This record gives sequence, structure tokens and C-alpha cells, in this order.
Amino acid sequence: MGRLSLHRGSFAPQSALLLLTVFAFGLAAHTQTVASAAHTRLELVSERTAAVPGQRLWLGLHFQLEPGWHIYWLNPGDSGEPPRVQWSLPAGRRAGALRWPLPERLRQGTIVNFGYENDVLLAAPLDVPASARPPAAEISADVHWLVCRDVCLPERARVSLRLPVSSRAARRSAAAPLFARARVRWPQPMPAGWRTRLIVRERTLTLEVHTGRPVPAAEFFPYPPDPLDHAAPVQVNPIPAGVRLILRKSDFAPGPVNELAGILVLPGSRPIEIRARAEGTAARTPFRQRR
Amino acid sequence: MRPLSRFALAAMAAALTLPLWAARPGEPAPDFTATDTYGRTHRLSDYRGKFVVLEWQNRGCPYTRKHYETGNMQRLQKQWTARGVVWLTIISSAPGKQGYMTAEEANQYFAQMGAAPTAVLLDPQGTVGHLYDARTTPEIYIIDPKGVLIYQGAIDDKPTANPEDIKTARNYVDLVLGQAMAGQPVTISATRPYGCSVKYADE
Repeated sequence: MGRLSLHRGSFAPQSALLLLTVFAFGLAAHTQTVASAAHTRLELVSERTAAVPGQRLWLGLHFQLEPGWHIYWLNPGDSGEPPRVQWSLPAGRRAGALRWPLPERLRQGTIVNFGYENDVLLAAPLDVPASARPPAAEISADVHWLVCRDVCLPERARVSLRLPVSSRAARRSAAAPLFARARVRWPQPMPAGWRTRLIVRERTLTLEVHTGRPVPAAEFFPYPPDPLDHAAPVQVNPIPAGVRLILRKSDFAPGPVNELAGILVLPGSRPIEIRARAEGTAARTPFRQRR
Repeated sequence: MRPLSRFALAAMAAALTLPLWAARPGEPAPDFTATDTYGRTHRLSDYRGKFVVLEWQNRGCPYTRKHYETGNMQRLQKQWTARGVVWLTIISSAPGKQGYMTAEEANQYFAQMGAAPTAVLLDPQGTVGHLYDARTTPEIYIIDPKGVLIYQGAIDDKPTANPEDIKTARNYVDLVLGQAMAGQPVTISATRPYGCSVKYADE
């Protein structure tokens, strides 16, 4: 790294690393922009070849990372920061919230992070209004992200896409398989018959998920505000009606824990979104399993 | 095996890899001795009677740079040392890792940055870092005149690498020292630290 000097409010000394090479190339159906930052190639893609008025269109930011580097999930864990996206869309339109695929647990000494290596697609829905008119919709995204290996670098890029607006049904684009691959890692709503319990003790959180049958293994990824110590071992036990996880509370848990939300991964199942409200401080009551 | 004994085993396994007595707010700050960039020895307990700030530093970390390249860290160091606070900047990067500096390099760098800590402690073995279980840069610990840890965690409430965020951030060093030195109760004693991982030697 070069010499450092005082620069108010800028990353100017790092500009060489932030320097983006932007390639734009026209395609028959639509125009795409790919941005290459120092350790990431970022592309804005669409699942379909055209925007159809009155229909939902899925857009995606496809991050391809240099081997060994990672970016972060919406909860980065003990360090790091999730990517931020600012969309520029035709007037009056707003993209929906980003869909974050299930991350990996990345360990570095006593630090545990949640993130992605190799490549990941962060998708967002765009409801194309019935009033959308041909010929085309211009879509761009300003994206800031932190990419890390043993060291971290902030990167950013503006990527754009020009999609034809067509009232005829659009075809699957060349990027459609990326969306299919990401979708299986999107968290699903909790099945109707399942129930959760959360017991908050001084140092631990006991999360029970009642699925109707014993579950031998489980992994949990917390959403913010995240009250967990990520480096501490998690005790996972099957119970007759599901699974019990005893999670270690972080010393930094902000205030009392009233709720635990996140993604639960059970063997052979899609990731499930869990939201559990805390029961009273049930530390004294011997706990009986319910069926 | 009963769940409890299994948990005990897991706890013992964890004890092998995690610090046994990581400092916690409200408890005495673990004492240590470390050498600064001028070869002087500093013992934490020698500073009884004063407030002490421990700041973990890595010059290459974008989060540390955010605070040094905007002058925010220097502002904090000047403001609080002027009020009698002892400010110890600690570098726990191992040789060959990001942020590692020899004493000479560190003196040159901190002079160039206009930094004003009381001392810069070199901790290339990570001894002090592991004693406090410091995980990120910048991470802040604040110790009161009785030697009790009164704050541990982030430098402010904007966990980003974006220098623009400093203007609107709530700075926890200002908050905690402001309250404690005015004799008021400290309202925030622990926050989740943010930034880069501390670049310790490989285990």
C-alpha cells in the first residue's frame, strides 16, 4: 500500500484500487454493462429479455469474486459490511428489497463472518407498471461493497442495463440460470404447522423449532439486530418434535433480547426464515417438551 | 450422554480456542505491559487515577483509514489527551500482515498523520490483543481511573468504511468519556465492534 496522507472525506489514496474499468457492449436484445473492480466483476442482469408492462421483472447484481476473496451477507457478522445498492429506474418505479441467498460461515481466527465466495447473485424485483411504454427501460445501479481476503478493500461501480419494453411475453435471458441457482438459496417462509420457542437466559438463547419430527442437525444465521456470539459453539439437539439450539449470547447484545430472527438450515431442506418471540425469563421453570 | 455434560465438553473445547478471561465492561481491565515505538515500557496499572483509551489500529484497514484520513481519530486523541486521558494506540498486526510496522515506520506514519496518542504500543505477537479479545480495527476499550473497563466496542454507531458517515455518526468515545468524566453514569458500555479483523499471527 502506498503512502498515506490526509484527505478529508475521500478515499483518494486508494483511487488506484478503486479505479474501475467499465466495458459496455451492445447486444441485439439489450445492452449490459459489466464493471471490473480490483477483485470483483459486477454485472447487472435481468431474468427475462424484456420488461413486460404489468408484470414483475427480476433484476440481479451478479458479483464474481477473485478466488480467496469474499463479500458480505446482510448481516456481515463480526467484521465487514454488506453491499449497498442505489437503483436508478425510470420515473415512478422502485425496486423491491434485495433477496440475499443463504451465506456461508467464514471463519478467521476468532472472527466469524457471513458472506459469499466465488460468486453470488443479489436479486431484486421490479414491478413494471402497466403504463410502461416502448421502446426501452434504462436501469442502473450504484453499488458499493467491501471485498475482503485477509485484507479488505471498498469497491464501487455503476452498472446499467437497457431492456426493451414489450407487451409480448419476454423470454428467459442468458442470465436466467443464475436466478434459478440463487432462488434455491433464498429463505422460505416458515411452514404453517411449525412453531418456535425462544428462551432467553443470562448468557444463552435457546431456540426451539417444532417441525413435527426430530431433527438431528441445524444451523442458524441471525438477522440484525444480532444478539449472538458467532465464535461460540452451538449446541444442537434433536427433540421429539423438532430441534433445539442453544446459542451463546454476545457480550454486545444491544439491550434485552425480545426476538430472534434469522435463517434456519435443516438437513435436506430449503433455508427457512425463523422469527421467534422470547418467552418470559423462564430460567427457573424446568422445561418440558411440547408436542 | 446427558445434554448438560455434552455442553460442558463443548464449553471446554471452546476454552481451548477462545480467551479465558476476555475483559467485560464493569470488570477490572486485565493488566498488561507493552513496549511503545520509542522503546518505553507501559504498564496499564501505572495509569491508575487516569482514564485510559485503548485503540486497536491497522493503517491499511479501510475502517481505520476512514477515521485517520478524515482527521477524526486525531481529533479524538487531541481532545481527550488534553483533558488528561491516556490514549494508547495498539498495533497487533503480526510481521508480514497488513498494518504491521516497525517502531521507526510507525513513528514516521503517526507523525505524518498528525496523530496524538499518548503512546503507540507494538504488539506483533498479539499478546495484548488476545488478552482483550480485540477483534477488529478500529476497536475501542475505555478504562476508568479505578482500572475498571467501562466501555468496549465500536468507535461510533456507523459501521461503514464511508468517511461521509463520520459527520452524522454518534461517537462512543466522546459519549462515554463525556459522561464518565462528568461523573455521570455511562449509558452505553458495550457495542458490537466493526471494521477489519485484527491481523494476528496465524495460529
